[in-house]
Amino acid sequence: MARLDKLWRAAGGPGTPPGLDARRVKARVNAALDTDETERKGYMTKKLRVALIAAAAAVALMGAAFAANVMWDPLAYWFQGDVSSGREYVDSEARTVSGQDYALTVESSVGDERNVFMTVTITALSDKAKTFIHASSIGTFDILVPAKEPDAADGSLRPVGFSSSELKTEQENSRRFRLAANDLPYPVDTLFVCCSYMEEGKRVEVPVTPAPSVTVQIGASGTGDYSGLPASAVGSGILLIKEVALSPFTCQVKAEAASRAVKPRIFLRMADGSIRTQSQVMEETGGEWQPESRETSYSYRFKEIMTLESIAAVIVFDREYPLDGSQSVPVQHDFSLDPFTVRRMEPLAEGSGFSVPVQELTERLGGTFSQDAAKGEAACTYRGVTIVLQAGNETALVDGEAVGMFHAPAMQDGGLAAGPQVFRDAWGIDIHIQREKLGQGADAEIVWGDWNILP
Amino acid sequence: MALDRAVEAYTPYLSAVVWNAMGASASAEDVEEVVSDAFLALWSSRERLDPERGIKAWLAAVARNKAVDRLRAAPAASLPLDEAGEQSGGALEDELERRMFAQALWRAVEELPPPDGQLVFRFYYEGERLKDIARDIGLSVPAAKSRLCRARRKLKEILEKGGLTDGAAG
Repeated sequence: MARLDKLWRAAGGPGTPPGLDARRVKARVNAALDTDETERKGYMTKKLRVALIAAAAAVALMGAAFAANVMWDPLAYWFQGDVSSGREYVDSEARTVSGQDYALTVESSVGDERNVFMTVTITALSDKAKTFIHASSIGTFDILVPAKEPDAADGSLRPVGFSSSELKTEQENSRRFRLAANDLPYPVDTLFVCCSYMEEGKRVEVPVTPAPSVTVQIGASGTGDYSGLPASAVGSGILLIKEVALSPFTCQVKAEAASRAVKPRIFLRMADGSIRTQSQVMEETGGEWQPESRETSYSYRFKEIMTLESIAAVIVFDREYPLDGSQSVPVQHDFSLDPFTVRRMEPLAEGSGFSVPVQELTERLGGTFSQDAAKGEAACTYRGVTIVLQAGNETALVDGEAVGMFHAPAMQDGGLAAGPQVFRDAWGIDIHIQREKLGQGADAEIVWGDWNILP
Repeated sequence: MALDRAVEAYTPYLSAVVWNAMGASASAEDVEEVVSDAFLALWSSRERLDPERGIKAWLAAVARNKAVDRLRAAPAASLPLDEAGEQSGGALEDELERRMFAQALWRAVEELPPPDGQLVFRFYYEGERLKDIARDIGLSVPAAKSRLCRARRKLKEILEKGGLTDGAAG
């Protein structure tokens, strides 16, 4: 309790924080274990899966909140850039279920065979609910789909994984969330959305009309990506990629992998002949790994909506697999797209993370770099996007547009060092720092390495 | 016994979770029962839990679900008579004030920008070691300490703006 006491005092709390006496809890738990453990065990078997999903939701709720721009279109909350090409797939019919205290509305939905993106609103109906609507746990959802297991009873439902985060709307009696069913186990015609605060059985039925998708059969093995991880975490590093499914919204990869840490590196050949990397166009949203079978799935959401007509082929292990199903062909390995490392530079300020060497990063990527040492200013260009940075200035110019940075770049060892985020955002590259845990328990130490870069 | 250690370690955290879910006026008896049920669930499920996931998040989710179940069964009321009887007049108001502040503090932590919210939550509420949290979010330990310090100040500011601290009152 000492830590919470410290936070309590620092925040100006009255007296001491309220809490329970652990001895009383312990006595209650021990007394219960002496009486009806069997009954409780059976109860928890049913609840466990839901609880784990709720934990994922809780983590998501701790994440970033969204801007207060109120829109019904779920695409605007999940995808960057121009979302107009996805509008034809949006179901904008609001569906509501009401209980005694709350109403749950799925405002709109859009998706494909494995993912459904929604905006939902919870509205307080009763006076009691109006006093409780802003409690942090109100956004605890469940998403259910019809069970298809052989032993499932007719009409039974099973929970599926999801992610959610709140959309700040400043409404007094309602709250809005973006909600996505991720990585559905199989295609469904309908899913059901529930709010944990509503009565049992109250759920919104959402028809699922998947956007068109294309599945490309691959069946090729190679070395996966395990950048920044110690060899002990990745096994052989070999990955068998079985198929890649693309929709305007997501990319799903089915594979066999020796370790959950190994990731596929796939590229998209665009219709105009250019190549897009994973780092450029998609973000990982989940996946599964079965240790016994090594069956693995990886799920990615596109950063911007992709029309399938704009993608000509998937490139895996230096072979190009056309979306039209025609024969795969070898492609020359593009060394400029291989992962590499750059030095870890010192933090830019007390309280910041490590920084990256700007010139080294730009030149290793194959970009162009120029520096005015007298002004402490550098201009670096990659993928046609120019970032101008200045030592001591927290504002970068990205193609002439001002972009705020968490800390100002600084001169270190005669060169400019900057935080990694501006490069991630402007150039669509992955930057993460290598770290290895040495030892176990209280004696474990983290050894920080260089920055790992995935173009 | 491992369960005893878990009860000692996580009771403060879970009571904060449950009070936040049930509301400041929830009785200590109700909160104690929900927290106890979460530990019983942990004991029942101990063989099925993935140690890599950590049990704190699991416990919190179970506790939150149980709090919701409890509210469904018996919506939160004002402080019950037995507690009111023990704490008359100003003492009762003080207790309610502390619980309301605890809720406001929790919400303020949730409003901190990433990664500060996560940092504060894991360090102060979940009792994790700073070096483990720093590793997970890619900071050095000194940097994480510095962020915690700034986050404490930020929380005070948020709560003062909300009119819940002496600073605002004065």
